[in-house]
Amino acid sequence: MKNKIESNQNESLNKLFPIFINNLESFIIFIDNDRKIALWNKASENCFGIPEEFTKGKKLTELPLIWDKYSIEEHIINSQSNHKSYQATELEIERPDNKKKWISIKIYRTNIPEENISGFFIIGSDITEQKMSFDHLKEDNKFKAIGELSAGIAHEINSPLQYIHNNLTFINDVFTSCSDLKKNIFLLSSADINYQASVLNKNILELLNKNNYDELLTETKEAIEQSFEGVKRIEIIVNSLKNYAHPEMDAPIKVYLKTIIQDSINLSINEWKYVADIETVFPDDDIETTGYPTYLSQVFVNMLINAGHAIEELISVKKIKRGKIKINLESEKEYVNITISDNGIGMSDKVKSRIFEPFFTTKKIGKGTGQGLAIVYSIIVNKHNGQIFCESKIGEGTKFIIKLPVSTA
Amino acid sequence: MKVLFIDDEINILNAYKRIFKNEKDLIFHTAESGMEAIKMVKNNNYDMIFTDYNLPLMNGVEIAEKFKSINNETKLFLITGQQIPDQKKYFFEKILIKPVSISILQETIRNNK
Repeated sequence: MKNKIESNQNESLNKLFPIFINNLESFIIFIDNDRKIALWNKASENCFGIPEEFTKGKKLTELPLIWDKYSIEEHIINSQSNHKSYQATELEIERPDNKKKWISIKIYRTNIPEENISGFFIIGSDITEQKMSFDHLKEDNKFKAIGELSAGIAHEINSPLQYIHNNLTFINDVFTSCSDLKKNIFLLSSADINYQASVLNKNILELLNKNNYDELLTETKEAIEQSFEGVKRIEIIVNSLKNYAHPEMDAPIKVYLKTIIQDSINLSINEWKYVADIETVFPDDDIETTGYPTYLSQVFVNMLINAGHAIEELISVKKIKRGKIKINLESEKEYVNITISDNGIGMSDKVKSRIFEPFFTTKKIGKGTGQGLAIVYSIIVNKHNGQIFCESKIGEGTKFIIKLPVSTA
Repeated sequence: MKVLFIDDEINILNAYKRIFKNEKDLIFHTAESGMEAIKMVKNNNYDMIFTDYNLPLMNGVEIAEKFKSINNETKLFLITGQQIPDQKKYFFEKILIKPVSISILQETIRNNK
């Protein structure tokens, strides 16, 4: 009786086995000794983007994947000679639909002659999400973002430094010539011998002939005013860096969105000023919420640079001469709405649907890493419980709408 | 001696003007963009041209390339705070690091007379 139940149970289990295999989160692949695929579960289909029927009787190396085929083969050979499981982590693959994935696998050499099983079990998991997780991306991107911006910031500081430097040289020259004049006049007032007075008078006349003091003083005034202007500009940029370079915080702090956006504009100005004008609609009072100032600055800098690139592309096909970036900030009940729009090249629905995917980029090599908007998404959605939407039309422009809860804590 | 300074920052051009205005034997011109400069180069025979790197639409290196095709005799100088790859330095007599002092500019002009 007991045996009967057990054998029934075994039968049921055998029937359930394929269902069980297909419901596993890990992918399981079995390849026979000829390297031909004999088992390809549902998770394999999902991870590699290849349906089971396509894989039957094919070798792994024959699948339409872009990956390091030799290293896979090497792993298999290693598992064979080691007679135990062999592990490979963080393998990069590109699927037939061009999506990138990262996987970790374990290979088990399996040989059960009585069951007629001989080959390799490859069991693994899709680790793309972990690899793409915020923490993983952020370090990488932080350095890139600072690197990208620093040349522009250096230029923005160097220009005022250049003319402050020149103006000081000019003011110094004027000062020297004014001191000479003053010295001669002073000596003249105390000179009592005619001869001495006539020499001093001659000196003074020479100085007055050589220099137009009225003009020099007017120019000096201008030089001083313009230098003040330059100092102010350096001050603005250095102050704007404060939020951007805020020390890493574990917990959210009070942030002022109008200030952060204005700072991001100041810092990224060199990246778009030659192609676009900026128009901002801000409320009179700053909007306070809680969050991470460094990350939020990164979001806005990133979006401004993107907007600049989109406009640059439309200019390069001679559709426009100069573009416009608009930023709108307003609070609405529990949300703060920030819209950033450009009248640049725009994008198709197909591209739009993938922009937040890590490593997806349509930019030329060297212009984008495909990480920018993935980070933006992660910062807004994961770090600030916010939302981000995108509207776009080819040739007309793109609009991003960011909604941040007023208190994000 | 005829020189042209190119910078999109008007305050920089103003500051140069103030200094060089009274310099003897020096005709001093300025331009705010590559486009403007190219027009001027076609109508003037400059001995030396000093250009910034970061400029609207065309950068300093692209401008220099154009100048060389117009007048190969003109000596070109780049004033920049940026790192320029070696192969791009080819067009220039010298790269001057921004901010550059007036005495270095004066010396450069003197030495290249």
